[in-house]
This record gives sequence, structure tokens and C-alpha cells, in this order.
Amino acid sequence: MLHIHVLNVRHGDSIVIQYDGPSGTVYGVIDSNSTKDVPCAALTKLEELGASSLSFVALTHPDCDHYSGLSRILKHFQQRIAKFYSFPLGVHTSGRLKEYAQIYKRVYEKAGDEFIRRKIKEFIEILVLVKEYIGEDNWDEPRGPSSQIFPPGFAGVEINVLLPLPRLKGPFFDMIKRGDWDVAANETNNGLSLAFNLRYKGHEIILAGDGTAKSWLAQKQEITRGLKSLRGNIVKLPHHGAEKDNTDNVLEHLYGKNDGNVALISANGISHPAQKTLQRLDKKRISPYCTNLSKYCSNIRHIDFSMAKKRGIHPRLSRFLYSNSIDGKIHPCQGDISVLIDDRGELSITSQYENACPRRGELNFL
Amino acid sequence: MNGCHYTEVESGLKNRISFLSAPSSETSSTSMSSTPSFFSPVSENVTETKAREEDSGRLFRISFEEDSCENIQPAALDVSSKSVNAVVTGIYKESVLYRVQLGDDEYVEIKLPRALAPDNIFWGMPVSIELDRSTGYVRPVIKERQAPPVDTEELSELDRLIDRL
Repeated sequence: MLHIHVLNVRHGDSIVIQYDGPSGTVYGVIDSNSTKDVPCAALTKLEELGASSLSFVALTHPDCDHYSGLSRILKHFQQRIAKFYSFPLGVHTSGRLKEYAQIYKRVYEKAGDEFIRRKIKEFIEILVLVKEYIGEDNWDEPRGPSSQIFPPGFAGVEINVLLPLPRLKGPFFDMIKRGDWDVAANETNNGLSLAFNLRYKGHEIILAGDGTAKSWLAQKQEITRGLKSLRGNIVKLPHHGAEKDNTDNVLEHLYGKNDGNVALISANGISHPAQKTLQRLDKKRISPYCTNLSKYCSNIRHIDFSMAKKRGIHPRLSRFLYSNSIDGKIHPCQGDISVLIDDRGELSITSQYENACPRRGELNFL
Repeated sequence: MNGCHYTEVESGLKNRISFLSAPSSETSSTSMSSTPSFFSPVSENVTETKAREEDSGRLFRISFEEDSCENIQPAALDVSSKSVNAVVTGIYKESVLYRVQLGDDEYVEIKLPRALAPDNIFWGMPVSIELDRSTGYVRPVIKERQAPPVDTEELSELDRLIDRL
């Protein structure tokens, strides 16, 4: 049986994979994010599932909504993690990791607040912990457009890396060499994001990381040359359902010609997913499962105009901040989402809150 | 006349409207009227015009005053900071995310066009955000600000971590 748990970590990703295979139950983690209340949702889930070791940990890209809390997982399991997969860093090139970390240290010195500094420190700590606990020999930087990886204990599940494409590696390494601070910019990082597909019992699940539309369309070109195509029937949408990275072309590529498609959206519901993305899913009759309630599915928009009074901010500036705000009160929709494919190939999706969703047609009887 | 009132909110020109019981023949005045108005006291440096409301025949006095929030202090507006500290938390092709600090543990995240960002922008950059109204338009101005001091102990710890890489 294969379980994929997409955890509700607000704006960010955290996925726990559980596989009951021939060598017993094994676990993998893809990304982690922490929230104010839950320092590491993935670790909580792993403890709940009774995991005593991990087959693999993957960090898709170095944005803090994908690595926050990962240090806790590494410290908890220490040497009991078999493999680490990351975006391209050239860890086997002498001095590369140090050069990379030095850039973050310079950003740390100039950073505007403790929040950013904490994130940078955690990121450097993650690199150190991976090196010391898992070791460089077990640290792989797999790349697309379609290469299979073999984490221990996952025999029976075909796991392929779809992104990033190899051509992105060189320019990124050059940036590290130059000491370019843009190595920490999100636009750069999203371009490097790992993305996976898992094939099991006739199903294809795509975990798309924060892959950009540009990367996906380039990936499509590459695999089409090899007469391959993707046929995801369950896709964790790229970049939390952002409009620009979930274009019609990208969705067509990810889902292929499959019917009965499902989209998993890991987002806070406020800044992401985009309305346009939900409309595109609707048009293609793809059923969305969102961790948090989209502001486009509700009228929820808590704008606290008392900020001016409470915080001593000029009312005009306060109004400006709120009119450009992407925050708001987050309301879970499905919460944690679990996809299960059993030994007979039967697929089921369960969610923490099991809210009926009109976009999936569950309120059509009304 | 309502349009004038909204202009106050939108453009930054403060237009104050008060009802007058002056004779209908009066069309303009530059003197201060002793008639009680909704907003009082009215400061001395205002320019006033009077206009007749066509339907009712009542007269309105409209006062224009540049940036008068500080002068008049209505209850809804308190004297407060016109600039907030923020940090760049996301850099995208066309937009930038800022985490605006409102208090010790309170913040709001806003998204603004990339064009408004300082030239040498980097993830984590400390900035200040304020509104400039000198041109008559409200324009956000985002400037780099000094980074808060670094805890040397923390920095040494960071160095020790990097040495292990």
C-alpha cells in the first residue's frame, strides 16, 4: 500500500510518503514547513505513524516554506535516514557547500529581522546535519527530465525525478562562484525545484514542488523527444497553485489524457491558490483538494482596520498595507490530505476535515 | 458634493464641508465665518470657497488644506508613524513580498510590484515603507534601511556551522 500524506502547513509544502512494501513499512519526507503552532508537521506525522527510520528525505528547493522544520527531522532521525535528495548544489565539488553557505551568511548579516536570520541559520544547519548524519555519499542531486531513483524499501514503486532540468545547474553554480545574493531569491530557487512522479498499481502521482511553467514546458519538450508523456491522475500542483505556474499548457502536460483527475493544493488559501488556477481546474473537470479554504471559495477576508489604532500606524498607511495584504485569517478546508493506493490498485483520498467541495461537485444534489 | 468628500480620502487634499446659513446671494468669501461648522476649530491657513447646492439652495463652505491631518486631529486619526519597517521575503519576476513588522510578534505580508523595490534588492533586505503624496498621488516609497545589529555570538555560531561543511 502506498500512502501520500500532504500535510496542512499553510503556505508551504510538507509531504510524508508511507509505503507498505516487501521489506516492511518505509517512510520518506519531501519538504517541511513550520507554522506558529506546529514546529514540524512532518515530524509529528512520522511519530504518529510510528516511523523509526526514514528511507529518504528530499528538499525540493531552498525556500524557507519548504525547509522550515527540516532540521528537527534530521536531529530526530540522525543516522537513521538512508538517502537525501536535493536540488543541484554540487555537493561533491570541494568547497561548493561552503561557498554557498557563505553567501547566506552575508545575507544574514544584512538581513532585516530575526525571522529571516532564524531561517538562514536553520538552512545552514540543515546542510551541516545532512552532511554529518546522512553523508555526502548518500546525498544525491537527481535531475529531470525523467530519471528513476531507488530509495531503499520502495521496490514496487517507480519513482522518477522530473525536474530540475540539467541545464539549470551550470548557471546556478556560476552564481555561487560569483557570490551572487540572488541564489537566495525565490525566482531562482523555484527554477531549481525538484519534482517527482510516483507510479504504483497503474496510478501516477506527480509531486510538482515549486516547478515553474518555464521548467515544465521545457521538461515536456525533452520527454516528448523520448516519446514519453506524463499521465498524472493525482497531481500536487506546482507552486501552491500559482496562476503563472499552472497555465493550461502546464496542466495539460501534467495530467496528459487521464480522466478522473485530482489536484492537491498545499497553500494558505489567501495568497494561493490563484482564482484562475481554480477556474482552469474547473474547466478541465479536475477535482481540487485544498489544505486551506481558498478566499475565492468563501467571503472570508478578515481585514483588521484597527491596526492603525493598535499599532500606532498612520491610518492612510494602514489602509495601504491592508489593501495590498496577502495575509488574512486562514481557515482549513481539507486540512491534511491522504492519498491511499491499496494493493489492488484501489485509490482513495481522505482528508482531515472532509469538507464537501462544490468544485468537486459534492454539493450538486442541492 | 459627496464627490468632494471622497476626494479627501483618495487624493490627500483635505476638503472640509460645512453647512452655512448665509444668504443665498453670497457666492464667495475669504474670511473666516463665525458660523459653526462640523469641523472646528478651522485653522487660519485655509482657502475657502462657497458653493450653492442647486437643489436645496443651501450653501456649503469647502475648505482645502494641504496635508492637514496633523493640524486638525479628528478623533479617528491619531498622530502615528507614517513609515513602517519591513523585510523582503520573496523576490519574483514582477513582484516582491514584504513582511511588514507591526509589533514584536505581529506582521502583515504585502505584495507590491517589482518596480517599486530598491535596485539592489535581496532576500531578507531590511526596508522601510512610507507613502509619498507630494505629487498629489499616493505613491509607496520603499527604501533600504539599516540592518539591525547582528548578535556576535550568533554570528560565531554560524561560522562554526559553516566550518563543518
